[in-house]
Amino acid sequence: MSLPAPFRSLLDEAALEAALRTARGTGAHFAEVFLERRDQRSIGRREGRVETTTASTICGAGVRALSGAGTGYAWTSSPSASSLADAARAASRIAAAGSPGEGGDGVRIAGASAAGTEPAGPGSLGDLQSRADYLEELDSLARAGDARVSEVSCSVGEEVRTIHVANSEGRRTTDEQILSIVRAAVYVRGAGGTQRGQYGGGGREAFAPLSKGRLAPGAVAGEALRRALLGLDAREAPTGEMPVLIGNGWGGVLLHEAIGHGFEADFVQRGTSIFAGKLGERVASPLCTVVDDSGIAGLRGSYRVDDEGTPARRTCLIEKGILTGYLHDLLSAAALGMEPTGNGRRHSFRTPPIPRQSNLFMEAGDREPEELLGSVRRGFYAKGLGGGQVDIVSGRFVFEVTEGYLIEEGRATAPVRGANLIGSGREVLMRIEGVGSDFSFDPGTGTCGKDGQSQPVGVGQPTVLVSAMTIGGTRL
Amino acid sequence: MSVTDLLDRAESAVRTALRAGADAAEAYLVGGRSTEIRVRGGRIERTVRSDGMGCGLRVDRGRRQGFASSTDLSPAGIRALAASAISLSRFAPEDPDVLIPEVKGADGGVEPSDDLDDPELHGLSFERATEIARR
Repeated sequence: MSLPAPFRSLLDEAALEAALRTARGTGAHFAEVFLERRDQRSIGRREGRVETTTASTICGAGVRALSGAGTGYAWTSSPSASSLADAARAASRIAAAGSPGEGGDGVRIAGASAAGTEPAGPGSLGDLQSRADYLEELDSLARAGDARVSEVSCSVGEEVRTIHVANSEGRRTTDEQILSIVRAAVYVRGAGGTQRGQYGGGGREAFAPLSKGRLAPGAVAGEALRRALLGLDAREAPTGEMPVLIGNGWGGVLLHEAIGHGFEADFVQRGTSIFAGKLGERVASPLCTVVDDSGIAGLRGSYRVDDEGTPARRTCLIEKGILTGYLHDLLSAAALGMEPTGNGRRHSFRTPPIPRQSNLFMEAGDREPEELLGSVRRGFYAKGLGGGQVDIVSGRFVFEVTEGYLIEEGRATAPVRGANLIGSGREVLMRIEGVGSDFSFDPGTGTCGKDGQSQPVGVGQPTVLVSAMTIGGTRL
Repeated sequence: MSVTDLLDRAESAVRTALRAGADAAEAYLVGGRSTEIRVRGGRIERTVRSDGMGCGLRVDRGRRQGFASSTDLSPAGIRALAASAISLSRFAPEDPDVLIPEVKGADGGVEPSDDLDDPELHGLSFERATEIARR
């Protein structure tokens, strides 16, 4: 299998084979070379004009070596036959010195080969002028939408990433991953002060078709404006424990943060996950089925192969309330004696892979969302969520509600502002009382951070009714 | 990667930008090797060896400035970097104060600073570094 085009001017397959042999020859029982090139570009508009543009390229190689005693990692941002050989020697020496990695000691990786994946085609970042025009149109449509609009900021970001993985088990895989994102914030000024509404979207799709479809300037401007205007009419938020209806789509971010990290097998290995040692046990309401699927075309968290070359796949994590699996990279799978799930991801060639979520979501149920709403006498509807703080180990979280309503006698009534959802992932899972039929993925803006590494991810869920959660409001 | 090598590539980036239409250009290159050894409770927790290089390129065109960065410093990589910086400058807001300062008396020669350089570092073996980290 020949190297993908972006690497051909720097090195050839023979250099990769030589590096693998070098690492093996100096004592490693497993060696892997990871090549990466990522071209990123963004353009941002504020105060009625283009204010920021960025362009960056990273290109490099990482070599990982496992010996009986440990894991070694070395990288170079000037990949060539000689720098790769140096990195291979360094990684293998580190491994031999007994520096343990996440895989623990003495892990053997067997059968790590996979069919080669050819890149989908040359990615291109297109012309900046059309992005600037898009943002100008978005800006003017938002301002034209309401006289109270005081400021609009918006941006477009795009990247093309090519990876190639070669390991000593014979694996040779390549993937090309494109990513587009649009973000908009609209500020409105009214009697209640200034309110901000944010909306955006994207995915592993080219910007041009997205910008003519679901992310047309009018659609993005309109939704951000709608959210901002809601804030002007909003009341103070209630405080206390009550039934909570969580909105579909982006509402799944709560699932990602509060329980999703618990499936990542490095936390399971260390025993810090709430799911460690619980396979086959009931961890959630029987209404709840949770899946991670990296193979759904177009989603922000998708890929054809992960950063260790394992093919993308669907992994069921909770089936009807029973814990059925974890998310693995090659090392965690080998250490726990399980199948790799294609969740080994890395921020860049500068870091070894760790188990990460891709697109993690709760599957649809059979209740009409209106029926779920109608069943609540007094409660809270968290239709939109913003940022949150989570203790990954305990699953305790505080999430800001960006669009919330009081539920009174089965109807969503007044919009409220300043509410927070407070709770723990474990409790929420057990308290799921109703799951809607209105499943949706988020619009494609999620980025997950772990160990200082960020990754694009997807989340999703239908409307979900939780019997009791704490609302941290502004009104006692 | 030697200092001379870095200077060569920096000069090449500036020349390429000027040829591509910049009124002025400034290249900022960083290159380095590092070994990071993290020890907790006497046990090595993580070790990473790295060898990195990157270039930031700032270009002026009239009253607009563009900036791009890259770790691909091959001739083709430098050409792409210059093209990016120039293309971005077209979208920058006009700024009457924008200016890459002229360096007085600069002749392109830069001496590595001896008083900041510990010669022992160059010959530091991995084993020795690990020993220091464990202390």
